[in-house]
Amino acid sequence: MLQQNDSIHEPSFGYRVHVRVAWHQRSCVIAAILLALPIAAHAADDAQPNEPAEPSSNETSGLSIPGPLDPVVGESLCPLPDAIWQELVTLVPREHLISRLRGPGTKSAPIRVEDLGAMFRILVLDKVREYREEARDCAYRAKVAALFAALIIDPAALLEAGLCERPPCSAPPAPVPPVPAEIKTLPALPPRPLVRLEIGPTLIAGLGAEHLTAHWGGALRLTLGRGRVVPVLGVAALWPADTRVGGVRLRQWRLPVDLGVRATLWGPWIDFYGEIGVAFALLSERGLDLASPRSPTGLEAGGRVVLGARLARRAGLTPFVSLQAEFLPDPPSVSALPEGLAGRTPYVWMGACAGASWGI
Amino acid sequence: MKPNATSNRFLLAVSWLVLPSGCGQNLDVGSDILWTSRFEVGGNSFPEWTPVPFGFGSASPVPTPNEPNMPNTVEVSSEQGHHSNFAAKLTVSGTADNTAGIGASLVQNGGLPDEAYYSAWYYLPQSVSVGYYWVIMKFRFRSVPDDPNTAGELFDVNLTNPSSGVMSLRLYDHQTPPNQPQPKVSPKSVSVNAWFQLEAFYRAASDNTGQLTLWLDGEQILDLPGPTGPAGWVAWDVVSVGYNLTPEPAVLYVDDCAISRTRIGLNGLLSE
Repeated sequence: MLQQNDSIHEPSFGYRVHVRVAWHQRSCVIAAILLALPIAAHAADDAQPNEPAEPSSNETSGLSIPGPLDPVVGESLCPLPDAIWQELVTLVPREHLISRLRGPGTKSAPIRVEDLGAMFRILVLDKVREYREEARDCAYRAKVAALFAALIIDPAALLEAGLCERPPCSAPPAPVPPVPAEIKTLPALPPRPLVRLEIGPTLIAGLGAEHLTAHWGGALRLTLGRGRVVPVLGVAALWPADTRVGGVRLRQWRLPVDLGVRATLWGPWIDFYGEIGVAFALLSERGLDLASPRSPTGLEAGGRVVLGARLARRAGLTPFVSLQAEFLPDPPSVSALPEGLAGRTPYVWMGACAGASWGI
Repeated sequence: MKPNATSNRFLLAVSWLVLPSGCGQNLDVGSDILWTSRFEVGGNSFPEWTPVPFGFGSASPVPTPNEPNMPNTVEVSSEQGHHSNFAAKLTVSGTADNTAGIGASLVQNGGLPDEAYYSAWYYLPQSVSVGYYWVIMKFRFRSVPDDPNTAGELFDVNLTNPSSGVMSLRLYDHQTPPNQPQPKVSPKSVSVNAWFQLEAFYRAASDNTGQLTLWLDGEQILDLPGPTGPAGWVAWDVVSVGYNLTPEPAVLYVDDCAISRTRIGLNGLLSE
């Protein structure tokens, strides 16, 4: 069935098909059919309106493809356009090829091949496919390209041709099909996590007071939403720290809470983010060394900014680091008798946090 | 409404609600003041002072030949006040005929720490000529803390007249032998017709760790390290005990008395 009519002239590069299809070729047919059947079906659907109702007499009886252009063109050295054509005419009846490749609406060269080194690209009736074939087996490439073209041009003919020329046919070993180098539609990525929990140890130091105060503790942050800008809520539990305001020694304890928005710049490897929001903290101070100590609790309020980064993963655990700064325009004052006003708690709290970010 | 807009409005609302409450808070972390007497409450009962003989508000009405009814008195008066409405008014008639120990006294008799700062504000309405002595602050001790019979005099802070119309302070150390000079006090004048502060740091110790330091209006006028009284019992008196004072009676106002573990100073606060 795949034999060609000897009376039909081949294109200028001339090739008379009278070679039986080898088992290897049949194997390629199987593989190509499996790989390209969905594309071919789709291409056939696409090509349906362009298909002429009836071939012209010239096309059906002529010995060459009319028109100024070769049916297979391209600067490719591997495979050569001629080689593809030679393979193609063994797969699809010539009249079918002529009618499809020179049909009304067909633009310029219907088949184009490009040699891309370790890959090659075949374009048939506006359908394109790239194959990786690093061995540069040009004959093999030609077969693959011809199979792809045949499936685009006339898949039915290919199926009618059968996979066996002379029964009984033994099932040949399945060759490894070329690996498509380009997937035209990206695989669907999992959605970004709706909820992100971050937990880790944190160090927060108070600046602006006469005595540097550093608190160790743990921080927990929660973001909600999949967008680039999402709300964020954070809380930290800090160990008390001893400090001094004025001449008064103090044991200081803070419970910071913040609320803000986070904007994320997603990257291929690292996601960078920044936050801005309002920060509050319960602040408890206990006078040390005083004859009558007290432990008043006050409220800090101010603004908060954060810069952070985490490894880019859509879900699951990923490490993160962040730097934060809280600015308090009017921090609480500390007083004790007989000194009176001893000073103020820090105007600025700087901190760092590192830990695990869990996207859910 | 977009989620971001909702977030922003929510943040704004929270900010407006919470930010004002976090502004300007004052955290009172306690006090080093151990004791105060400001004479604003209690009237002439002097509830802050020790009710002992020759103690709180005690006066020694001593009739004199010329003025047999002239009393020595301690009373709360509204005539003067240091940043307040009332002060204690101590009135004494110290003539050459009177004897030592006559006067008006406010006493903290024991129950004090081995070391502390003692502060009192005084007001002299006029210059007084001191013929022999005029004690305004005292420290006493006990050799045996629980035995009142072992009490003894230690330091007396006196008003004196280095020259006419000028008043200053001197210290009398009862433990200094008579043949040795008394500790020298920097010659700083005491304000007349104005409030002045006398503050002392006293550490009771029988060894060289003992110390007495005096500040007049915040300026140190004496630093006397060395043995003081034995630890365990300290008495502090704010008094007006005079001998041969002219004119008579001599009036001294006292206010804002305090005992503290830290220096009070001129600007120290005794209450919130």
